Amino acid sequence: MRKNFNLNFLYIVPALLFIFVFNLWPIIWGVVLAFMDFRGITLTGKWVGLENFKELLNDERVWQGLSVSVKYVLYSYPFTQILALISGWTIAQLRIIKFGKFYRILLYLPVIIPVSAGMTMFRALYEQNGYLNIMFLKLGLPAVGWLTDPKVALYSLAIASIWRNFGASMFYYLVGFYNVPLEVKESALIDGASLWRRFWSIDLPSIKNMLFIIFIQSAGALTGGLAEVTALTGGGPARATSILPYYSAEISIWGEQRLGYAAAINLFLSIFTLILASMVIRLVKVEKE
Amino acid sequence: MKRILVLFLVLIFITSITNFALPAEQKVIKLNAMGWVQAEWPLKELAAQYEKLHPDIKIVYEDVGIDLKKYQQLVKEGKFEWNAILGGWPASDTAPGFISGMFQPMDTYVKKSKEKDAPLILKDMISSVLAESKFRGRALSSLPITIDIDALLYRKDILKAVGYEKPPATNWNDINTLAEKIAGAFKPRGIWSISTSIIPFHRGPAAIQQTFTKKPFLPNGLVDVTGDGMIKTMLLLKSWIDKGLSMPDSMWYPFPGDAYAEPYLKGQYAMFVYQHSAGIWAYQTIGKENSGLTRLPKDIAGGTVFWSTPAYLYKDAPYPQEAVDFLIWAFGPSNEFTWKKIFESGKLPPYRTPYALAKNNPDWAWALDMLAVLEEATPIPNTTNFGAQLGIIRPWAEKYLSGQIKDPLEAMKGAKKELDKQLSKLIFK
Repeated sequence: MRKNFNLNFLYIVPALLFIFVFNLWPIIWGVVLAFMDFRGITLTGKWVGLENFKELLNDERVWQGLSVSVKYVLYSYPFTQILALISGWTIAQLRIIKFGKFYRILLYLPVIIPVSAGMTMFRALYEQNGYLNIMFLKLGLPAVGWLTDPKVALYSLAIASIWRNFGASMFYYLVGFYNVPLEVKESALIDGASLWRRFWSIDLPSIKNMLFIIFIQSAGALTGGLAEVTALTGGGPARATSILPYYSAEISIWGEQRLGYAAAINLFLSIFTLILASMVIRLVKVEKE
Repeated sequence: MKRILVLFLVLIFITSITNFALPAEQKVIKLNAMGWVQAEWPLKELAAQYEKLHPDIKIVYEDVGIDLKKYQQLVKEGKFEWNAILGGWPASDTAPGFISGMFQPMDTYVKKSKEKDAPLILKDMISSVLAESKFRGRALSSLPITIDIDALLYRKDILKAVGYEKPPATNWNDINTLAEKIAGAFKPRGIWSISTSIIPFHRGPAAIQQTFTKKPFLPNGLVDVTGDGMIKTMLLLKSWIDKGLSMPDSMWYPFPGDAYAEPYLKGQYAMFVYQHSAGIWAYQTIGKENSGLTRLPKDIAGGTVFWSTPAYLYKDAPYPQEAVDFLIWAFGPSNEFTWKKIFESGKLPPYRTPYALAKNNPDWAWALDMLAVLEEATPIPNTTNFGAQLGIIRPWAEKYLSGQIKDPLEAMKGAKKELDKQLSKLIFK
């Protein structure tokens, strides 16, 4: 019996190794780096304790980056979820009707298309002589600097982010909606419940737990957006789209490649995100009780 | 017995002859050539010609993307096989390469080389290019192969329509007069007069800055952003926007990759300040007969920005002398085959001698304009902070040009403050 137990344990060793090498080790190394002055130019570093954190607290770019990150999440995340919820629910209704599978694949496509390809499409839309401005001009409206006007660029980015991410969230909702027993839905239909009533009183309550998870995940969205910013705006114009992860990426590429400072910025962002997430969890708990 | 003896002697004779005729062990000179230089330079032909002259040498090009970590590891394991890297940018690669100990100076190998062009390398090299190729003014840190330079690209057909053969080389006021004439005639047809891109800062504003000042850099290597040259540059760019000569916002549109000259390449501009080779790329879109390129106007100082694409010698190169010999033979001033191919590809030689080829070929006449301005240009200092500078200056320039900050000096002081802060964090000064 004991021998069997030992053998069984061996089965999970590859998975544990995988988790350690690709998940745990980068986290541990990232935390260690945050306390070092490590320069990529020579791949050498020294222990500096809390120096990086003192520096980042006085770095205007960090606070500006954090503020842009928060705005970016506020402009994109809620709309991503609303769109995901609506499309998930609509497709769940189609299960009773037809074409559910087709729409499921269609709406999930942006998630599996490479970011570069997706953002190239958005460039074609956003260019000064792009499709959006051509349409605006034909309607007699003035052209918009979608990626060049500091007041507009972050919204343009948020729209691209919504398009790219809502498909993944939609699947969470879809699973929730699929779990609502068909008999319940059919009884509601027979009882003559309106579409809105069925959504509000049957479907939405059944995915309440899923909604809480999505709500908690919103804090994590702060660490995203790097691919979209890099592909579309490069942090510009006038740093209007320079989210914090983008600034830390710049630090690790620029000049002497201060990987230690960049790691400190990311650790700071992670701690900020964790605090935010725990606040959201507390809120959710209160709501549940 | 006699027969056996004769046979034996014949065998000895044949084997000794064959042994004598066998070539010595071939040295394989591996060069890490970046993909884009393999496309631009006639590397394969040069290797074939050199191998005929030197049967004991085999030249191999590979694009192996060696970073510092990989380099150190391969050296430690005794597996490092590459001699030089072809490609890179002195402004941003020389200092890190020497600080990290990946590259070594080339002076000694050039001096020792028996190639006939070896004594010409330093003598014939254009002085500004030579200055760029010396790390901190001392060792020959890289061997420049081709040059890119910021120039004024122009539409010959549009200029002709308003009575000009080419943009005046005098000053920016004369260029502005021409730009306004073009606006009067062509703006209704959707063609704008003049612009640049500020995102690759060195390909636009930094080049214009050198027409206004002979001292574009501070002693620490930073761009003098608050100096008279940069302030005049900012005022000039803003005047293009305010007078409606530039398409709104196109100056800081984040085109991907190398596409910042796209509005010019699409035929939307009559004049555009950018890397000279974009004028050659425009042959494909607006036609060879319509695309011209010339120097930026002399104005006060007559300079521009340029950069070489060089070869660096690895510190642990297995055949450093042989690699340098090949590079001198292949890219030395007197190798006409190379320079004809380089002119055809739209690039420039770093030596004076090859420009004689351009004198005899009207298709390459633009290169002579470029030579004149190249002699007057100030090289970008080799530091570890050039890329960081561009990233820091650009957003402040955008703040001024988009009207968020009204005073160019105030915007540039903001950039300077941030640059100084960045510089204070550097270890390798």
